[in-house]
Amino acid sequence: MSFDEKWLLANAKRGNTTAFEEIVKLYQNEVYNSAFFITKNREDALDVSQEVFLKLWRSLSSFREESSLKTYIAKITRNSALDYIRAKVKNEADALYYEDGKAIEIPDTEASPSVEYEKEEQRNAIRHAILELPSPYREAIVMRELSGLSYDEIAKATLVSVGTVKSRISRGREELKKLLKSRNIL
Amino acid sequence: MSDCEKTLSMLNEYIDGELSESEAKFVLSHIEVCHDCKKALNELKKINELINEVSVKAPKELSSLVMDKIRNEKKRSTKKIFKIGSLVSAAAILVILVSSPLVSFFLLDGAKAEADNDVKFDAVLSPEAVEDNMYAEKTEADGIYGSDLELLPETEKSNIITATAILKDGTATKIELDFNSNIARFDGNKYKLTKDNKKIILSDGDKEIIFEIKENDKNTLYEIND
Repeated sequence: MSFDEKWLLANAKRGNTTAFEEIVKLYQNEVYNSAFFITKNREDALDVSQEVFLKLWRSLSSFREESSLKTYIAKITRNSALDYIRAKVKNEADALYYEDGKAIEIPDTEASPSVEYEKEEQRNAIRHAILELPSPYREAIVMRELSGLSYDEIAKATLVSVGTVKSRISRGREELKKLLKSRNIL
Repeated sequence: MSDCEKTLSMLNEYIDGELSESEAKFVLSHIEVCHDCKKALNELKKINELINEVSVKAPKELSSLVMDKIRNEKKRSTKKIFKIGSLVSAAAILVILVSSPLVSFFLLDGAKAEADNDVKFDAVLSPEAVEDNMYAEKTEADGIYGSDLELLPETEKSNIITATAILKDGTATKIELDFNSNIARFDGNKYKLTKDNKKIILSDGDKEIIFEIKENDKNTLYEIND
């Protein structure tokens, strides 16, 4: 954790909302990304992200800093996103909705000129491929690549062993490779 | 295991920076001479590049949405601190919701509370972020305590109070006073719990947190003197 982040955390713990806002800004993309790749839906990801930061704010005083703030946030994000999905599936009585590879919503693309359009098409195809991965693999890969967590941090956030994380990342990349090759992206 | 097999089994950890120095050196020296393993490594690198291209950016409104909620929450907490005198109406709310309404317990401004510990509790009072809309509505209508309260009707857990202490800085921390086993949990720590007419004392051998029981004309308030 950088000095700045330590300082922000210490002040946020004392109830300083400005310091906390900086923490939100530091982590919002990571949280939103993880939430998106778990919920597979932009609006849900926004709901989950808000929930994550509210939970973080409320629990800061009991955060003992035994793990890094990054890991702590990743853990809250994962749990919140999974809870959200469970609740939604229950509410909608539509368990199929969130099954892997189904009902994937890709974020809207901004109006793009033609060159950009092709690129964006490819990005969407890659997002699809990632979202089609079995959730344990997807989760590990997103935490590693998009949140920059180490294997140890992912293990702590997902409550599995480092060995399991290692195998999920390795298998996840393998699966992704197959998917990307089958779509001529790789 | 051949050098190729060994290298391939370590490639993911290699690109993720998870190998020891000697292991990383082994991989590096092998891929310098092995075309196939180098190709596999480049493929993995390419996959990572592609993943990184598709990260989604948080919507601009995210931080303001969060901070608006937090600032409103803080305002409500501050309101609570100045509304100790309103505990009577809060107790009335509890009467409606707790079948044995002989207890109300609020920890405010690090912390004050009202309680009658001589009674059996029919519910665990757990003020926290609330999903229970009915209750939230009732409390909101009263203009106090907002939506911070939740009742968990776990009747088997009599004589245990759980609550959230709203500290002076607006942060919240959980407290549980278990009068059956005389154990308290507060701010993540476990304490021995003792009570006399004037005080509730949480001690862990090193330090004590004392809740003074203060009488005013309407309520019994507990205050932390740390």
